[in-house]
Amino acid sequence: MTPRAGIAAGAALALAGAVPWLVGPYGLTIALNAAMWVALTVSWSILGGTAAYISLGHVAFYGLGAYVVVTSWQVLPLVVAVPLGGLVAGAFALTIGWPVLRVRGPYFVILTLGIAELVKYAVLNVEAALGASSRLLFGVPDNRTLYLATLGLAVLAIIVAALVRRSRLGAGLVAVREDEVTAETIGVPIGRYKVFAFALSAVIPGMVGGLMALRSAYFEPLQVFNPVISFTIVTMAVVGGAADARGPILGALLLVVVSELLWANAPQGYMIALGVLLIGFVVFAPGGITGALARPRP
Amino acid sequence: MTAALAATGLSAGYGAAVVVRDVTLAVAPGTLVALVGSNGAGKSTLLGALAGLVAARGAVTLGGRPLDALAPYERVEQGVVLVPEGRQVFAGLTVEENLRIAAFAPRVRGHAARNLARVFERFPRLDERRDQAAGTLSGGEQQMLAIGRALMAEPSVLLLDEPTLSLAPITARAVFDIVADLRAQGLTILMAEQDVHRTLAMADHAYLMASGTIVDEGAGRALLDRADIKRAYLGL
Repeated sequence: MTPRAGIAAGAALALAGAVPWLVGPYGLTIALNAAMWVALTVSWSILGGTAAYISLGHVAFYGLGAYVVVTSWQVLPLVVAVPLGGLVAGAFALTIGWPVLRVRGPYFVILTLGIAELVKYAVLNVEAALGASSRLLFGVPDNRTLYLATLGLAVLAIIVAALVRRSRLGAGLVAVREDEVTAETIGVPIGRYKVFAFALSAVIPGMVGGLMALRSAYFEPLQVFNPVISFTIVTMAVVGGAADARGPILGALLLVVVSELLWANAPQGYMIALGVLLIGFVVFAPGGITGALARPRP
Repeated sequence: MTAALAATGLSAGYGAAVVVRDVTLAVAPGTLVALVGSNGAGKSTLLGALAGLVAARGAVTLGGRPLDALAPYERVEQGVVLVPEGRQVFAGLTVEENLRIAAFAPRVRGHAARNLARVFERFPRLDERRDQAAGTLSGGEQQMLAIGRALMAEPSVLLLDEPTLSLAPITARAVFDIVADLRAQGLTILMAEQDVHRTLAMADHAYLMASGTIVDEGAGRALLDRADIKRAYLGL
């Protein structure tokens, strides 16, 4: 990072940290959404952006983290429950990673989507059997606390993703993205790397899910296992440019703003406009905003 | 003398399909050994099995040490490096990125800068195009890059799979010159190639493959002089 970029990042972080004292409740809600989506999309990009393994199952990690926090609410302190949610999500990714990451391309996309739905319905059935299909959570933190904690996770996700990209793991994942068989011929332990990156990309979404479950005193599983969360993550990454470190951040921030504008001005056309935006990027700018702005290689 | 690379009773294939059957071969240190045969003879599958990329049964040793249980990346760490058929350069990366990323094995990570300089010295064409996306290189340049990438991993045995495939005759000649040069510098090479005449002319030893098995072997020149080989492989 250049000194100028470092100063800009520091200023942006300071400004983001001061948001609760600068804006009203509506602005804070938008800021919370932005921090949440940045944390989720950047985490997803650790595998999805670097190695181009498009997971449509990250909502499962988000939901599992939420479940850990909700079921341990007022039993475990939040500073324990949220990281525990991340660990459970990471452990789940590690467990399913070995078989799931044997397939690639569209098969991986469909498999991760299927696993997320499987987890959702497994949880719904268990909850139904226990007679606890919804829960009331008393004493949830205010939005300012949730925002600052989520902002911390977003910053952590950015740091982790940047470290991965600069590491041997990142180089190996780039080789996997370019050509998986050839990556093996240069000595990349592709199986281990993919599974580790998948688990790493699941930890922060698990923690974010834990925090987001506390946005309301009323909790039901369908909220946190909604597949639209996974679709939105992928859309944000594609729009921003998943292969570039800045892309997922840009995509998340842009779509949060666009979503708010559409909700406010054209609520009936909201999903249509988002769909058109996604199609437009896939067709005309598959590298996303950062890809379109990048200087073409000779 | 212990073979640099040896296979004993090696069978390999994809799922239920066994493509290579009961192959036994040895590559002496510092020699160029050729695998020749027609399309579908099993040459690429055999090289893939030696590199650990294709499921195999049988014994593979490197300098007498067994490789059978090692994954592909562990074989690269031991020095067995494959240049795959069709070059398979990382098209979206630059020439320099392709080379730098190939210094991946822990054994060579500390030598990346030195090896990069050596590769650029050997292939000035790549040096000229170091910032160019690899996918935009010509076929011959891509083959140089693929070989250069393998050299970044400091191979003790280089496996070359059809290095002249789809290249213009003049470019193919240049690639053969590169292989001969590497051999002259003492690198151990096992090369699968369809240009039987040129390959046998330069190989220290050669194995002829047909239908997944080795059907004949001998010194390259001696095989080239045999009338039956000329009839079967050269149409003479």
